[in-house]
Amino acid sequence: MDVFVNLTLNGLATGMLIFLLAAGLTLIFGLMDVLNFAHGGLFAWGAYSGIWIYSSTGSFIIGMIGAVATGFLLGWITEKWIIKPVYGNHVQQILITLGLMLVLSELLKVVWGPNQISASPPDVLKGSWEVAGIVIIKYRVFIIAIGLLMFLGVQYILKKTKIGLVVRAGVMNKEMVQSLGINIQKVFMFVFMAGAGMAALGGVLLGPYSGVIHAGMGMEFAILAFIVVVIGGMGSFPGSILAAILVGLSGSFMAYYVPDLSLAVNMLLMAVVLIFRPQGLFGLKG
Amino acid sequence: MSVHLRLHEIETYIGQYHILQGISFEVKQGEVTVLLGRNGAGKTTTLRTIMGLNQAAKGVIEFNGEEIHKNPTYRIAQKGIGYVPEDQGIFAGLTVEENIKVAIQKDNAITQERLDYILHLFPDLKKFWKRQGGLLSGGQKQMLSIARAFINDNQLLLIDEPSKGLAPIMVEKVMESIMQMKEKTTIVLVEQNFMMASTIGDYFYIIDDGKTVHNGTMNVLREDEEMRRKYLGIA
Amino acid sequence: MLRLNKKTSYLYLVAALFLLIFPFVYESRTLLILLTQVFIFAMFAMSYDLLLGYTGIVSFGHAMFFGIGAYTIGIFMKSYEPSFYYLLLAFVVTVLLTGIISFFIGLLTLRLKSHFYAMLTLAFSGLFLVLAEKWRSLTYGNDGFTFRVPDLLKDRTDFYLISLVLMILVFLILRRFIQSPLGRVIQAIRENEQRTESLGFHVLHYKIIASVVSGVIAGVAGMLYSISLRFVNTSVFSIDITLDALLMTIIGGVGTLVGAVIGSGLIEFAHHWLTEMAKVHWIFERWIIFFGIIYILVVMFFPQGIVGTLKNLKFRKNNRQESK
Repeated sequence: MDVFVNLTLNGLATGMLIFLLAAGLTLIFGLMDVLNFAHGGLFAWGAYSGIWIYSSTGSFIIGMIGAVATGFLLGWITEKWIIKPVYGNHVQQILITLGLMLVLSELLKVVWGPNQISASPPDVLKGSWEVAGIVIIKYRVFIIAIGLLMFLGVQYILKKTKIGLVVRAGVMNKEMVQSLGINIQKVFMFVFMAGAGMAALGGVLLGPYSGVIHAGMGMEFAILAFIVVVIGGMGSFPGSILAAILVGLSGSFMAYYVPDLSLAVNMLLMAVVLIFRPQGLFGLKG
Repeated sequence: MSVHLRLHEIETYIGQYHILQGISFEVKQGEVTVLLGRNGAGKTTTLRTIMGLNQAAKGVIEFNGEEIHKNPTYRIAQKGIGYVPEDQGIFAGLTVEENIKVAIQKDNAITQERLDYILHLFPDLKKFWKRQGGLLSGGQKQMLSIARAFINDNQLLLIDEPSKGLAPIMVEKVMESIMQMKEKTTIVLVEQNFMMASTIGDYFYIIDDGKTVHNGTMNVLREDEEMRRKYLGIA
Repeated sequence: MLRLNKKTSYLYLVAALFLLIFPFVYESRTLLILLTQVFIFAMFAMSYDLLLGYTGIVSFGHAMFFGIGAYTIGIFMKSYEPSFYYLLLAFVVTVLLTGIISFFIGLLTLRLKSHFYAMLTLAFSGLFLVLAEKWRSLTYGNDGFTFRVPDLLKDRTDFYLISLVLMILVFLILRRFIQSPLGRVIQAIRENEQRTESLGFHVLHYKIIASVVSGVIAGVAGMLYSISLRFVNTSVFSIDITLDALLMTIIGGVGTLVGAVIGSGLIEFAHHWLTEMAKVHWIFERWIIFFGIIYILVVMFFPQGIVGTLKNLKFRKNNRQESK
C-alpha cells in the first residue's frame, strides 16, 4: 500500500512537472502553429536561475518568482527575435528553435559551469508526513498542489477573461480574430511568455525534486513534453494535463516494476496515438 | 453621397497565381454595392484584399479617404470595417455569446444599441445564446456572422455569399436583415444568387478573370439579359 | 539544381586529386586523422542534406542510424574476430538494420506534418540512446568498449584514402540519385508537396525512399566513425551527433550536397582548433555556442548557407553580364 501510494504521488508529481512544460507547448502550437523546440531550454534556465536565486536569498518563493521572471524575459526575447522573423515557414522555424535550444543549453554551462548543481527543498517542505501508516513526502504534494493551482489558474483565464477568450478563438481561427480587430501578434506574445513562464516554473520545481540539475535536463523533459502534447492533442489545454498525468503515472509505475521499459511504454503510447488518432485524445487540430 | 471605399487597379497574387489583375471600383456611402461574377473570378479574393488578409501587390485602397492597403488586418477592422467571410468564420467551440464577445471592440452605448438591434433582427441568436457555435444550423451561423460584423460602430460591411447553402426562407431572412442594416452602414456584397443581388443591390460591378469589366446601377442589369448571360452565365 | 558546368567539375576534380595526394606530400598524423573525420562526417551530412535540402524533411533523429552503424561494427569486431569477412557481414547487417528501421519509422510518421516527424525522430533517437545505455551486456553502457579492426584498415593512411574514396562515391551516387527522375520527384515534393501529390505521385512512397537511402548512408558513416576510433559508446546516439549534421548542412549550404562537405570541414576543423585553444582559455570549450549562433543567423538570413549564397552571387553576376 505504501508503495502504491508513493508511486502514485511520484507519478502525479512528475506528471505535473511535465504538464507545466507541455501546457505552454500545446497552447503555443495551437495558437501560433509553432512548435517551440527551445521550450526545454526555458525549462532548464528556469531551474538554474531559480535555484541560484534560492541559494542566494535563502527563500524558495523568491527563487520560484525569479524563475518565472526569467521565463518571461527569455520568452519575450525568443518570440520577438527568433520566432517572429521566421513566422509562417515551418521548416525554418523548427530548425531555428532547435538551434536556440542548443545555444540556451550551452549558455547555461557558460554561466554556471558544466557540472551538476545540487538542490534541495526548503526546510519547510523537507521530509514527510505519516498518514495512516503511509509515508508521504511533503515536496511531492507541494509540486502536485502547485501544478493543480496553475491548471486551475490558466483554465480560469481561458474561460473567464477576455484575453482567454481571444486565445481560445485564435486557436480555432486566427484570421477571423484579426478580422474582428484584434492584434493577434500581441496575443501571440502573451501566450508565448506565459508558456515560457510555466516551463521555467516547472524547471525550478524539478530541482529540489530530483536533487540535481544539469544542462541536459531541458532536452530530457522536452522529449517527454512532446510525447504528452502528441497524446493529449496539439492545442488542447485539458488534453495536456490529462496526458501528462497519464505519462507521469505510467513512467512512475514502470520505473518501479519494469524499469528498463518506461520510456519505451511512453513512446509506444505516442506511436499508437499517432497511428489511430493523430489529433490526440482531445485534439482540435491534426 | 460620398465615396466610402475606393479600390484602384488592385492586383493580388496567391503564391504565383495572379488572381486579381486590376480591380477598380467605388462604393458610395449608404448603398449596397454588389460584386458579381463567375466562380473563381476573384470576388472573394477582392474582399480578402480589402481586409488585408491577402496582400495587394499593386494598387490603392482608400477608406474614408484614408489609404488602408498597407495596414495589417486588425487595423483595418478597427477603422470600422466588418467582414462576413464565405465560411462564416464562426468559432465552433465558443458559444454564441462568446462569439459576439470576441467581436466587441468598444463596450459602449453604440455597441449595446447595435447588439439590441441585431438580436431583435435575429431572435434565434438570443434563443441559442449559450449554444456552441459549431452546433448551430447553417442559417443561424450566417446570422451570427453578420451580427458580429455589425456591432461596434462599423461603417462598412463586406459580406461574402451569405445565401450560399441556405434554405429559401433563410435567404429571405438574410435579405431582410441586410435591407435593414443598409440604413446604418454601407455594404459590399458578393452574391451568386442574382435574385437576391438584384433585389437588395443598388449598384453593381462585374468581375471577370480578376478584372472589373463592367458596372452600373442594378436597374440596368435587371433589364440587360445579354450582359447577364455573358458575364454571369444566367438568363 | 546540380547541373555542374565545366568549371565546377574541374574544381572538384582538382580538389579530389589534391586530397588524394595530400598524405604523400605532407606528413602530419593529426591532420590525417582530422581529414578522415571530415570525410566521414561529410558522408553523414550529405545523407542529412538528402532529407532536409532535397526532400524538405526535418529529422532530429539522424544519430539513430549513425549509432546503429557504429555499434554494429563494434559488436561484430568484438564478439567475433576482426577479420575482413566479419567486416563485410557487419556492413550488410548495418545496411539491413538502418534500412528496415528507417523504413518503418518513415512509414509511421512521414505522412504527418513536419512538426510531428521532427518530434518523433527526436524521441526515437532518445529511445535508442536509452537502449544503448541499458543493454549493458551488448553495449557496455555509457563506458562503451574498444575493439580491434581488420589489418587492412589499421594503417592511418590507408584508412584516410578509403574514407576519401567512399566519400567521393557517396557524393557521386547521391548526385546521380538526385538528378534521376526519382530524385526530381523528391525535389518537387520539397517545393510543393500538395501539387506533387495532385500530379499523381504517391508522395509518401518517395519520402520513404529518401528516408531509407539517407538512413543507410548515415549508418555506413557511423560504421566508419567507430572504426576510426576503434571505440564506441553511447555518445554515437546523442543529440550532439544529429546537431552536428544539422550545423554542417545548414551552414555549409542546404540542398547543395557539396555544402555538406564544406560544412563538415568547417565544423570539424573549428572543433579541433577550438579544443586546442580551450587549453589556453576555458571559454573555447563552449565553441558550440559560437556555431549555434551562426546557425541561427544562417537560418534566418542566409537560408542557403555558404555554398548557396555563393551560387546566388555568381548567378546574379552572370545575369548582370548577360544583360549588358
